[in-house]
Amino acid sequence: MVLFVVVLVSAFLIVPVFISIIGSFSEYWGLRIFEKGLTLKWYAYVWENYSHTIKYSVIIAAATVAIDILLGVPAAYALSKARSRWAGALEDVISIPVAIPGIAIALALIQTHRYLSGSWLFIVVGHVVFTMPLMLRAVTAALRTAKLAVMEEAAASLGAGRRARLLRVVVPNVRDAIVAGALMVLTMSLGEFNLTFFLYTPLTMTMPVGLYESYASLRLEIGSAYTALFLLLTIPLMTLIQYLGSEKIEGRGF
Amino acid sequence: MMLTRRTADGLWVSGLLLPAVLTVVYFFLYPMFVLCLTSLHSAAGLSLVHYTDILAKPRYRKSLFDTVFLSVTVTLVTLAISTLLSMVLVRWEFPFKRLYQALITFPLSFPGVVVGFMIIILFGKTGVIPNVSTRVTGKPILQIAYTNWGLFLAYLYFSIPKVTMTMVGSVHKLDFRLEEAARSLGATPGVAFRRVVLPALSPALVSAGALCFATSMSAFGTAFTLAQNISVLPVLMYTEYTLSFQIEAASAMAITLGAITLLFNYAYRTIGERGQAGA
Amino acid sequence: MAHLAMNRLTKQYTKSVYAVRELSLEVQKGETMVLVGPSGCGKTTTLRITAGLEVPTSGRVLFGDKDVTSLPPERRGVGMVFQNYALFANMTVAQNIAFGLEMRGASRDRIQRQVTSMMNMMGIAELAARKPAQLSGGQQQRVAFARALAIEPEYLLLDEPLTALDAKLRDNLRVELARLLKELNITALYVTHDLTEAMALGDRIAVMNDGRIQQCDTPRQIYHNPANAFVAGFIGRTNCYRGQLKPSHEGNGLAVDLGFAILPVPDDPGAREVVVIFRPEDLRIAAPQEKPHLVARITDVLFLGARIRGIGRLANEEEIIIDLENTANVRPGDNVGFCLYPGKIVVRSADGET
Repeated sequence: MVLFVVVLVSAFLIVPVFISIIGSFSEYWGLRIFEKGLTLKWYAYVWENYSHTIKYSVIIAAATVAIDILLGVPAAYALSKARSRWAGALEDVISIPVAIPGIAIALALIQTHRYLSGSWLFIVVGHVVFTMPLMLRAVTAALRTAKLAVMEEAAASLGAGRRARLLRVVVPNVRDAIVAGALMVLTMSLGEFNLTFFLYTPLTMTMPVGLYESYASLRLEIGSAYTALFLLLTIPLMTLIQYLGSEKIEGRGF
Repeated sequence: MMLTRRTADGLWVSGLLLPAVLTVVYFFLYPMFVLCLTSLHSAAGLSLVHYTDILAKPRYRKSLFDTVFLSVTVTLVTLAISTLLSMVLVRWEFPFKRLYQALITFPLSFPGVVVGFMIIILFGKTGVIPNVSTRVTGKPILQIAYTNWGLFLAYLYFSIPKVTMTMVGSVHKLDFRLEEAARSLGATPGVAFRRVVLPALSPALVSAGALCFATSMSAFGTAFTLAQNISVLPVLMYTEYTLSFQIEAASAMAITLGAITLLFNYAYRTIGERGQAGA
Repeated sequence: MAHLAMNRLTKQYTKSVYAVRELSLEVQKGETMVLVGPSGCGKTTTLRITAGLEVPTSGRVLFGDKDVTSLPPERRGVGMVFQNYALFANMTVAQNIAFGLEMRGASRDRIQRQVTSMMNMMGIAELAARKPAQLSGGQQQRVAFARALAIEPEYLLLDEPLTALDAKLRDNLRVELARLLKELNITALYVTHDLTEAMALGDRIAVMNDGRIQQCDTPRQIYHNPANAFVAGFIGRTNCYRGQLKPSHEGNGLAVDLGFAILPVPDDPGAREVVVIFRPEDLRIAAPQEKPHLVARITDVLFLGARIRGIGRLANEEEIIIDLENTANVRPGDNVGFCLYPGKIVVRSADGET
């Protein structure tokens, strides 16, 4: 009985992904799925009409990661050194956006920063706000290991000032945590829809938005091809994350 | 002016924190504050009318109740299925287990719209199930993608992987010897599960349930792709804003949703941590 | 003028918690000064204050005639070796050693030469390209030394450098370290909780307790003339008893009434309540016709190889420990009389610490 439920649920989760991918190669979506032969024309269609979304998704994700690293790594370092209670409170405040629906954040941004609308930077701003806590948390955890503190003291005794200690000793040793954080941020940014949907314009469309459009108005084959391309981009990232061993995948809104 | 070591250190730390803090303040706290103000704005000055409207106006009220009802049912069903699944993952061994685990956690990276699409693939007008059943029985069944059932299934689709992964850690920590003791005293597996495992898992269940509820309440993309009959609160917020220009009402809904998710996320974290400490 | 001096250093954490109290110390050029004491005595805090890693509540640290108390660690120019080596995990051995020189802006050439010379001196030349994670404890320790010495510092600060090693390695390295410190003739401040290490490496030892220096002297002096009961107890197994000072019955001089015996003492400690200290090896079995200084009932006899250790009970049931030649004939249950070798008794005021 247990086995039946498990199999049913697993199939429910896994099967549609594969069927969709298979269907994207077929001329005709239906029961006689391969009767009319294989084709790549749906992919060609997607590429012609939606390649700009791939471009924007990648640019926005890359910008988000870059900004997260530039803002988040020094902040994590500072928080790990500060001993007062403010440090914990500050970390909590920076992490609030994770618990707020993207649509609420988007509505708030629209009302206050209208000057940004129409630019892809607007989307980047939104992405940074809710992904930075992720980067912060990943790096802070790595910084808390005691070994780093003593290494810093050793560096100081050898003549390294604050900047040298940060750049030559601290950052290289949390490099792995930064990479893990970056991968998670990339994945979340590429797959973000709720917030982005409020902030995009046809000129700055990302993949999830494009996907929505194709689901709403176009054939299943096109939707499948487009989805397959999306998965092609995100699944390797997810695999890398699992491989590097990050346990908690908190994900975002759906 | 000679700075003391402590002051210089303090300045350095503050300087490192400043960019991140400024970003959060300017691009999050300040906008949220403005959102609050908007939600309280009315012709007669500050007022809670937009919040009370959510309960007063029939359309809004229905949306709120529908969303809560959907979220509660999704949470309960998900908890049941995920507990099962997480116990299987922890206690069973079978070939390709790691691959299986990877496969069922992939949906975690799907945006809500893709989840909606998966439901369309399975249960849409020309979905897999209808097509196969037409072949076999001559009549299509379960063409439910755009119905409430379809929406429900879609919500399950993204909730089950998330909650399962959350529960796996707690299941790991269970001491199976307690169950063995119960069995040796005559309890059937079902009874042992009910009387030994579930109580031990209850903090994890509550906290994962809180997370699931919060996610379901604020889900937007999935509902936007699928829902025809019911209008969940996030979608209502969108339509009120973009079609009816009711920005104050939309803001109030946004704040309400934000407050709910914040509260339940907090519950998820604190109960979860307490559970960890106890276990 | 001392090469390194601490002047009334105090480190206070809360109203009643002091790590270091009014500590003053002078170290001469080329001398190795060892700070030794039980956990929590303040020796590590003192070292860290000297390094600049902690700021004292009051007091000064002087390098020669320069007051460095407010200088941050990166400007003090000391070489420091840490208990767990603190090697930079992201750099190779060679890069670790070169770090201090890089911070000083030395030329590539000079760095190269100096690093090679340091690695040769510490015998680790073949490890140049390895990362710390690939090294054994002993190897890491040598790298830590090379790194600290590469900058040719005027002062070397060592925070329990051998504590993390296993016993055999520790013994070997202790010998090497002693030789190295001698050869380099560098002014060194060395912290350890291990007395043997302190005795072996220190030109002078400062025994610390409760944030203060109890006695600062050469190892020999400390062993034979402990300043008080604490130092005596810390230095090793010893016999230590309280008693009262009295005029000696035998005419001139003073004696101490210990309850189980009355022992003559050479000098006046300046108090009536005193403690009397003598080592296990300072006793011998009284000859048949001698009047023994004290009598003990032997309870245990331990064979230690070169010597026999007898443990016994005195008349007032206090314990006494006597080390004898391994030819001595004592057995548990015997009542044996002992005499002290002349001049081997130390008497101090019972008012414990300095």
